[in-house]
Amino acid sequence: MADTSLQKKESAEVERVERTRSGRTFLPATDILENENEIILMADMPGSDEKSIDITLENRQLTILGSVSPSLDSNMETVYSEYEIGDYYRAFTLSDTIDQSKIKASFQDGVLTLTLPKAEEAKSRKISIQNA
Amino acid sequence: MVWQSMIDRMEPWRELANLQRQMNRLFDDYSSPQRRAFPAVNVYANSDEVLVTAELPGIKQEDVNLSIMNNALTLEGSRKHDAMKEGLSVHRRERVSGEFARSIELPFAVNADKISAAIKNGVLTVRLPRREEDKPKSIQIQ
Repeated sequence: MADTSLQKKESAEVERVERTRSGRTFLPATDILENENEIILMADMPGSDEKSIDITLENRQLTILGSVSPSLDSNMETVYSEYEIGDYYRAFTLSDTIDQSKIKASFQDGVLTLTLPKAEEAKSRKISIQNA
Repeated sequence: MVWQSMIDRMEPWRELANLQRQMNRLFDDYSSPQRRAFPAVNVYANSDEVLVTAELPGIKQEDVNLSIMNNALTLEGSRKHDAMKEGLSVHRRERVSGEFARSIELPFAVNADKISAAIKNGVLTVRLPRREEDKPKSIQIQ
């Protein structure tokens, strides 16, 4: 099942917590990139919008929740269906090296981008050897 | 009466149809490879129009081309990963990228001049009105 990454994956984590909304919850496909100053996290959450996304940070756990409401006219019938519409949920554990007060988030074209800057003291420094 | 209204509310046939669709999907996962195609597409219809929706996160309007031929709607385009900045290393790469093209057969003939399409929050919605001469007409018996 190597190519299942193309499909929406249902979130299993969310099952541990009871939800007040019915419907399915999906894991957003996510890219995580890092450079020496920051970690960049990009998650595909089509159908969500910036108002319906909830990002919380508690005890180093970063939680992304995006609610999606189906907006289909009720007189339409489904002819063919490859994807389902549902909420998005995913949680990540951050290391201590992130400066948690400086996390930035933006949402554009259905993609959530989080920029997690590294704390000053955690940045690796190049140490030069000085000969006595 | 109470029962009737309860049944109305529960809409048992719709539920049953949903269940059937979900079961079909379960088996489709194992049998049909094209289900893995990107982007995933849904098709809805009523007697007047077809609605095609596709999840295209991160794709702008100008990056998608739509065309219609022989009752099939083709959507093609490409999704690029954000340009790699200097010194950036990758920990996870789950988001799909690259060129894509999909053709979807429509349930009836549509009026190609009146098609409208929009992308909002990463979801493409194409509205295709049914051709007038294709619509069902009632015939008077004389």
